[in-house]
Amino acid sequence: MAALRLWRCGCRALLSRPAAAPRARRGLAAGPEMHFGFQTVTEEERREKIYQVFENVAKKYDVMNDSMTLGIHRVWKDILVHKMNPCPGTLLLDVAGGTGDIAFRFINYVRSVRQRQLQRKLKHHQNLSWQEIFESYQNDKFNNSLGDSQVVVCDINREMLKVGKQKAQHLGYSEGLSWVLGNAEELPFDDDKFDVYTIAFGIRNVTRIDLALQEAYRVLKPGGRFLCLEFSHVSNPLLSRLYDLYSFQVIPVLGEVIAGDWRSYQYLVESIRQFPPQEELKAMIEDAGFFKVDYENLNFGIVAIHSGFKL
Amino acid sequence: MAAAGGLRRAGWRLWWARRAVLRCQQYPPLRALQASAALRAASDEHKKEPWASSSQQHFESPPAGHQPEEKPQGPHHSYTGQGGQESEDYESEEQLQHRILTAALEFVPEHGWTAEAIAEGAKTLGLSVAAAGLFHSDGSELILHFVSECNTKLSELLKKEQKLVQLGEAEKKPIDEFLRDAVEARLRMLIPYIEKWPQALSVLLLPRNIPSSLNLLTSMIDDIWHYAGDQSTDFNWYTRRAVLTAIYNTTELVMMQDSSPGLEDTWRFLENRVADAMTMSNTATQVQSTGEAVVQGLMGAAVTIKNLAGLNQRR
Amino acid sequence: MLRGPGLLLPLRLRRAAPAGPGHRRDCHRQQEQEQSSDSGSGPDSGSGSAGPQPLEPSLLRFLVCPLSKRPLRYEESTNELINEELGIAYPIIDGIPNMVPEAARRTHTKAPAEGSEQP
Repeated sequence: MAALRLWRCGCRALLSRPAAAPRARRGLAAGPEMHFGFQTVTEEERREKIYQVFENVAKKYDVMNDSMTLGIHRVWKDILVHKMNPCPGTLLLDVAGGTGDIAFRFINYVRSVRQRQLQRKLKHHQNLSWQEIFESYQNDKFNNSLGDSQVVVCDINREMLKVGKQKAQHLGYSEGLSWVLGNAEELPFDDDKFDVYTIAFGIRNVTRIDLALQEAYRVLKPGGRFLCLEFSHVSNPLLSRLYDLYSFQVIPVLGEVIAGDWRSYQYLVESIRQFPPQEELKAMIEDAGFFKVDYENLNFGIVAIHSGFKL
Repeated sequence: MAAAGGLRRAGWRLWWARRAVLRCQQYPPLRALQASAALRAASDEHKKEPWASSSQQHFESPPAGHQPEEKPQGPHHSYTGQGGQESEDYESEEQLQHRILTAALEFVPEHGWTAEAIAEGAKTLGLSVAAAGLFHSDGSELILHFVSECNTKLSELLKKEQKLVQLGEAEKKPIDEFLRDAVEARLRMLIPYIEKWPQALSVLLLPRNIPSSLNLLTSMIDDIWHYAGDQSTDFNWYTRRAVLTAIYNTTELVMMQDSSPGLEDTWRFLENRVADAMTMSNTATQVQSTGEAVVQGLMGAAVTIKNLAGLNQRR
Repeated sequence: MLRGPGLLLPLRLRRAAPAGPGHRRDCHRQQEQEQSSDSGSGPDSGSGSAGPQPLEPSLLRFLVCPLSKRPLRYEESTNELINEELGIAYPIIDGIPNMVPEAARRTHTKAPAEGSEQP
């Protein structure tokens, strides 16, 4: 009964929103006016509003992700790391990765690859003499279960990082993981440092996407890879209608019921609609200097993974 | 007899021209420059050279999301060195990929035909290990690149020999010896990678790779026949290809399982097969020999599949 | 018997406390609070206890000032990362360096450090 009342309330609020929202602005600061969901705000206001959105949702972020996407977000993130296919020794920078989902998956993946490598080495060792085996033990970093891989998680929001750090301790991730509070448009990292740069469900919250892409280009090593996992546009019209229905009717209600914050999830859904579609984002990535830019649609375009290389 | 031979030669050239045109249609029209050059070259009896180079480039292009090499309006593809300065010679993406794959070949004996070998190769070039993401994770491109390189090397070898013969510095070999030497030279290129070659063969049999790998195989066989010259008018066109393909495939499989010193067993096997093919050419009708050659080819394929199903490593 | 229900009541109350994941979460949270005090130190065990946690040395390889992109110096006494050229210092709170320019403190004028809660 209370849910039904909430639903009606949500519907009324939705009907009150402007029907034809201006979609001209796509995250590029064409003057001080920007979009915050379907509202128009200045750049500064947008940053603050977004910061507050995530400050409010930080503790329930994972729960909300699970309920909104019915757990499918885990599969999306798994696919992202699988596509990355990191080998031991990779340096990953995960931007806007506050709660550490990508970082943990990366560590698991690299750990299993490393184990397979070690097993193969042991099989190979059966043909060697004891002296050679001893020498190889000394030379290789057998102690390092990650093979020197490292992941740096960078987020602008302290609350999200705190939640992530707690999760890391809870799940037992200790080595190869670092946390930094920084702005994606002004990364506090040196040039040519990282092998892979990922930004999962974070780039639509960045105020100046072009700056973030330029920074990504700067911190990547030559040959490094840029990966972006983000909600995108569904081309199929029937599916698009169902998706719209689900997004605008169900998600804010879930937000209210689970996280007690309807507005933040209203913003979330609106920001997805305002985000540039696949081809436009691909063009922006190419403009930043990346080569071999490509995207892969997951679930008919609900989510897309964009990939580019710094060559 | 001479007229038949002449007709056969003309048919051969026409078929090459058709292949060049088909290739032109498959790939972006910007590659038409190379295809038309091939057409012209085929008709002038300066065969193979431009065709081999164009086929090599075709197989190096990545399967998904590729940008054509000579894109006039796109961004200028330049490889920036580590110091952030642009290198003197601008190279395209494909040239860079070619370099990475070549560098990766030296790590294949240790890591196999995998993305790890490609990552190590990229590292030696000063690139990040993430550059291995440019290719498929099963190493298909690496294997196809290697096969294409071997074919090119074989072409050059045969061309050099032909030049020597034309200059009169060497004697023209009889057909069976020529075929034997050519197949042996080609198979010897596999020796450094022989431990991991069965793995490569199984990857080449993946449905995704079959068009490319079949193409490479047939182009190599045609190459050998081309340089063998037109002396062998006993074989008809279909027979030639099938026979030599069967010989090559079966010898390759024998080599995988050969543990004799210097691979003697393999070379003896090859000699026997070529001798069989020669005697077969002297028998009754062309149709019968074609049928036999086809059966030989099918047997070879069956043996391949049977062995690869249980073949994990060299014995 | 009067004791019966009396004994049962407190037992029932105790059992009514969530024995499910929520309870376990509370336990973990307590454990986390105990662990967080000495986990952030990692290989370089500096202050260790519930005070300011030192930075992981591996991070220093990558970190630069976001404004000038110049290398930083780690100051152990104040637990800050200092950019000598611009004369600013970035605080490290709970082992997480705060590399946002708005949070930096000027070292020359010794102005009071801005709250790190500001975005």
